Amino acid sequence: MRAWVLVAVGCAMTIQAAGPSCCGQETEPVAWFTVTNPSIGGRTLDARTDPAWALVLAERLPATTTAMLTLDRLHRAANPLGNRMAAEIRLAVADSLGCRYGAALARTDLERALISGATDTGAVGKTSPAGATEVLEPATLELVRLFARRLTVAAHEIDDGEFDQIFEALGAERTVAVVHSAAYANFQCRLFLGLGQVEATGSMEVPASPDGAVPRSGEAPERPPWESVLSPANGTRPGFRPGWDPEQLAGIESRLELQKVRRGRIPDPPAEAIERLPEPAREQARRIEWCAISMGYQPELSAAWFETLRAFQQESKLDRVFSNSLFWVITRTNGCLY
Amino acid sequence: MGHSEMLLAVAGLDENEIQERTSDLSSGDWSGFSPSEAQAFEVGCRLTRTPPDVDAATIARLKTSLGDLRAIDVIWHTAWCNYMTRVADAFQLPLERENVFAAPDQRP
Repeated sequence: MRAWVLVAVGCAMTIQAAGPSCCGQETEPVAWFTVTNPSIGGRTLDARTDPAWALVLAERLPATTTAMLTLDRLHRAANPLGNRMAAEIRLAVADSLGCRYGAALARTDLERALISGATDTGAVGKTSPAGATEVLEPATLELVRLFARRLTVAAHEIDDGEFDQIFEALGAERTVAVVHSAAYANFQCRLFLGLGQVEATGSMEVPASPDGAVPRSGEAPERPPWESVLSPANGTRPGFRPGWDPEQLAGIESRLELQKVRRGRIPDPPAEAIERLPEPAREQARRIEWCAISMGYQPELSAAWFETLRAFQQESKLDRVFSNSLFWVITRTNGCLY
Repeated sequence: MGHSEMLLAVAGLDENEIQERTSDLSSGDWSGFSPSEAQAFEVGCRLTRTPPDVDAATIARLKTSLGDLRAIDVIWHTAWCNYMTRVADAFQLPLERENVFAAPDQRP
């Protein structure tokens, strides 16, 4: 079992991985990412009140981190599914991905939700459109957990029948919320694992509103120019191969064509739901199916997500050929045709 | 995959260049790309497929190739892609026929 610790090194902190050697002794810790100045807009983040991931990201992506704190708060404390079901989904995803930090956060939220009013019999309160509290059966909760796991490990293999079970149990709005909650957990756990699990320090509480931590314009550190980043002189070529069958590329092209005529699993949201959206979300929802379903049925979760993405794009200024080549690699890995 | 190809077109690649690039990517032989691109693709692939197996050594190589800031950017972008694909796959969204990311004056 490896332990991950955030330790103070002089005035700097370093995320470190410490693990047992073959002889049972702790190996030397290996630094992943250092934390020297975890501040946003002049406010220094505090490990007692701010999450560990925010401490790592703040100095590198301050506006993104600010948007992420808002997004995290929404998913964990104001999720339209109710906070218990939201925590159950994040726990199912984190366990599927082997993300201990994500699982620990979800368990903390789950305990809090159980203490603060959700019944401890397995039933989950949900709010009907009329505002009355209804009861969601344990079987439905288990169905949601299973769906979240499937969405995590083999999303492209989910068949129409599996989807219909969720849709019939929850309806359109809540199904879209389940999908976005599971997608958020997939995002967050991969980020945690890429940073080198950071659970040993930082607050486990829901982040406070980041109002007091508004990044100054242009606060993100300047990135090196892409020409130098992508220079052939940089780094060593990995021996890694993804193990894809090269013969399948032609098959992919024909499957992309089929995806164009495929019928989606969920009906388009009512026109008035799109009309209510502010620009540019309304125009995007009219043009892009992903946005129509997401913004039409769950405008708040989707808007917070897009706000986070916008901040990241502005701060990272990724080269578009590079970033979309990486996007292609990931969609290929996931078997996602859309 | 359809959207990433549309976005490559918006980034300035023509149809042949997109086909060539996706063919090179799909081959799994990334020797035609720079070492730092190949490192990023490796991390993207592994953080997607088997995230707990991405270890300190892998991230250290990524940092050596791209630098600390760009390494974080690659991890973040990879995580983002995994959000987007979960939504698209759950709903099996039909792929739009035209490039939905093209500038308004370039759409049909």
